[in-house]
Amino acid sequence: MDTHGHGHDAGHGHGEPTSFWRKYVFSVDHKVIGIQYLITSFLFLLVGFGMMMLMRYQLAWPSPPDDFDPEKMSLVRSTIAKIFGDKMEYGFMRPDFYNQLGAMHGTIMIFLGVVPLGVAAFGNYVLPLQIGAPDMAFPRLNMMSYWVYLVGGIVMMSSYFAPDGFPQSGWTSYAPLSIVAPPGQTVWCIAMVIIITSSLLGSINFIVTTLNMRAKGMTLGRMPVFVWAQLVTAVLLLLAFPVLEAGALLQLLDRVAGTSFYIPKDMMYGSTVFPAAGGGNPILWQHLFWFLAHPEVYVLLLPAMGIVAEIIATNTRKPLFGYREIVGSMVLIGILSFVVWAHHMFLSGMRTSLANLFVTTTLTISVPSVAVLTCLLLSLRGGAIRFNTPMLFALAFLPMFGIGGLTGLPLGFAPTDLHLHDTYYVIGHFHYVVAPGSLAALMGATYYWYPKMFGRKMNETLGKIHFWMTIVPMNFIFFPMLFQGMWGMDRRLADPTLQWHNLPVQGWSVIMLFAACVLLLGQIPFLWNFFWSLRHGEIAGENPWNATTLEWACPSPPPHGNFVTPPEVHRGPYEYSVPGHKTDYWPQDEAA
Amino acid sequence: MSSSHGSAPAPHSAEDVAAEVRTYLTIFGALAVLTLLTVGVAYMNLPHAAGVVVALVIAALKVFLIATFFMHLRAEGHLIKGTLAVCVLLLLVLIVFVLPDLGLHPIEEIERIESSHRPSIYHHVGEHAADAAGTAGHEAAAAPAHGAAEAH
Amino acid sequence: MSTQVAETSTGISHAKLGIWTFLASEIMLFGGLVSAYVILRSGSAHMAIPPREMMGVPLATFNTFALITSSVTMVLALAAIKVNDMKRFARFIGMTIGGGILFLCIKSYEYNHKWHEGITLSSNLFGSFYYTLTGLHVIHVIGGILLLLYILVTGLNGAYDAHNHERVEAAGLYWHFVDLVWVILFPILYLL
Repeated sequence: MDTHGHGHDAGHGHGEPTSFWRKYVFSVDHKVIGIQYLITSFLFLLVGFGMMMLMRYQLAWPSPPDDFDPEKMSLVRSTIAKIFGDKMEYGFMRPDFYNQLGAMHGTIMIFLGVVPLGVAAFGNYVLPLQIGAPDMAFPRLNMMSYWVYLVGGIVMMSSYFAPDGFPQSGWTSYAPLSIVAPPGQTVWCIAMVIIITSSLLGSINFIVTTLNMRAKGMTLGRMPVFVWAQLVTAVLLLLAFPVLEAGALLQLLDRVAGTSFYIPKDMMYGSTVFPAAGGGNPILWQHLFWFLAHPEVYVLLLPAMGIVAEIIATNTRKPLFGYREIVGSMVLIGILSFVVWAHHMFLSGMRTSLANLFVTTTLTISVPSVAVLTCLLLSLRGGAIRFNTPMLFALAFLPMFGIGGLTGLPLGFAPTDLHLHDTYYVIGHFHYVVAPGSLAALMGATYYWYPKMFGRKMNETLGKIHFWMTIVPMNFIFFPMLFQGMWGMDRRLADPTLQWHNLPVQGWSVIMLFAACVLLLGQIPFLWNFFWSLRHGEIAGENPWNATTLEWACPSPPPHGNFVTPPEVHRGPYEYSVPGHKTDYWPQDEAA
Repeated sequence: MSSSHGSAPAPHSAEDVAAEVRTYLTIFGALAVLTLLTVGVAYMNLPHAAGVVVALVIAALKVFLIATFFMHLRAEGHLIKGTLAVCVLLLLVLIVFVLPDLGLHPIEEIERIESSHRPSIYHHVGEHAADAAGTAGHEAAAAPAHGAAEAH
Repeated sequence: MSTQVAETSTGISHAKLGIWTFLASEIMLFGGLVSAYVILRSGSAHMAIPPREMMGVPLATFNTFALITSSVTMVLALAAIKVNDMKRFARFIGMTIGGGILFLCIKSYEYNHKWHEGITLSSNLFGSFYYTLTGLHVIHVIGGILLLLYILVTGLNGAYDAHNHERVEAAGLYWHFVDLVWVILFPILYLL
């Protein structure tokens, strides 16, 4: 047992685990679990990305031209036609297959990709290190959370083998369409309940760890911004996810047990009355869903903000501008995110007075978001900036998230939302927040904490290639979406050209496809870099970035139990360039 | 040593525990009386609104007693009390914000919908739109949810 | 191997903070379902409420007593372990488990009866909510009974004493929560 005696689950000592299985597969060490999450969620991101590539290919050339000759198909088209058979005859997608890919792309990217990467992977790995804890509060619960997540992901993917394939009702699964949808949707509900369970286990662990296992001297006001972001995120997950669990349970019962929570009286389906008692309300699903899904947006965002704050402070060599303001704004974002959900539902026919209320709360929540962004921007001022790969990603986050946030304002106003709702404008808006925003920050985090995880740095040149080949194409994919949406092109259409008013903006889709191809190619240097650097990267010491926070005070990679001697914290997290100190960084645990 | 760390140092002396037991039994008596009371009131067939208020007040009182004394919330610090307060507040937000949208239809309106036996595909829209019609004429025309696609 | 919990930053043990955090999410789960019930109960024109005679209020009242009593025996068991009275501890935990099992027995009789009376999961919206809400609660009761059995067995093997009863306390908190949910479900499903 470690001498400091941080509280531990009974029976979990700190002896070295022995067998391979205990050490790398069924490990209770937060670092191994974090890396398991990292790899799994990157795999899921790749799967979701692949689905997106197919959809973009379909959208670029949605239907055969008049002079289409099946004998003279391009190599790409004939290959795709061969692989997917009747789902993509002659390489043109069947509309229901398009719906399946759309639903799965959203579900995978959000619930199996970005959230596990931002919260579970980096949270698991870095959070205990940053607060100076030897492990999470409930290590076995932590392991369970990963395996439940993996099972949930596999169940979700297995819906492919259900009759009629993947669920088709979009990641939002609006009732009553989702009630009458093919069996894949049932699998979706079950998988969601499993994933939510995993997430709840994780958030309980995060909350207890952060509150209870801080090192001596690590007061709440000395916690790094990333830890604060994880704490707020965990609270959001803890309190918002059960409501969706309730909603998903009701949807499941509607589908399999003949209840009618979301089925109105005498609902017509096809040409007959749907066989259920009726009396429910489909809008109820929207309320329960968005009560989770809006906080979920901030679950995607807050860890990214925390990461960017860490990277910026380290690489500008000066304290963050407004630490307290950033933390306060994050907490405020967390609180407000629970009272804005119905701005996704202005078109559902809600009464104007209620819509006005949600317009007001929505515009209010933009204030703390802008405050965080402004603080991060001002942190750059007068800094001796090091333009390494993590810093490039962090810097790119600022304008990208800015575009994402500002394009959200017209969606927060009910009058403009009535036009823009369910168009590509919405898609462009939230992808700006999540892809070049959150995901870029998470890639930056990978470069930033890689030396801690594996003891070696990633290659800088490859990293910079990866950076430019990621951020530039992303803008060529998502910015045209804003044009298309303002023009009135609806989302979720396998063939937008069927609506003639979309023809003038159809050409953008071809550009977006090529940009997506560049984006795909741009990930090759990253993958190569990730695996190559495991053995050949520049050896990193304890503290390769000369940073101040506690994760850099233990060996890279940290041993089981993390710290050689339990750290003691003497100052705030970002004491850079303190006048009179011998180096330009003053680690939190360095005695004065 | 564990229990000596809580915000309320565990007493453990026999007299203290005996006092605790007396409190528990008193609370048990109160809960029993309240249960009988709520059932009795239900059988009095009060006006609907009054009946709802009385039943909810009694339920809230019972919840309060259980949480305060059986779950020792009285002795807990701000952290745990605050967490619970946040939960209750969020649920209130959920109910209060959704009720005017989907619930609380005036009785006359419900009767009107019931009396107009329209086996129409838009019946469920009518249910919702009838509510919106009073305050939001222009939005009432919009079909719920994914009606957006059809609107074009 | 000791189950002693060392100092924590908040002064609250991991077990207690963990179980309260878990209960917070449980509150949101049941709260979400109850909200859905309240919203549709007041908003749906098609939720036919069965007459009180069909609901079997006397039996449900008795069931309420069963759960409240088991809650009391739970705190009494905790009080007993605080003075190292193992005999009373085991007896009261046993009574708590008994209360839970009695509740389940009555509940299964009730389900059977109601199903035959025509209140089924799919008969109408009220039935759907009745079985969903009470069903989820029953699952929690079963979970609680299993947890208490674990406490009883480990307790009889001497795992707890006056200075070490974190787990008993945590299990108790969960059991009281199950009781508390029923205290809310009883009036809104049976009496209103």
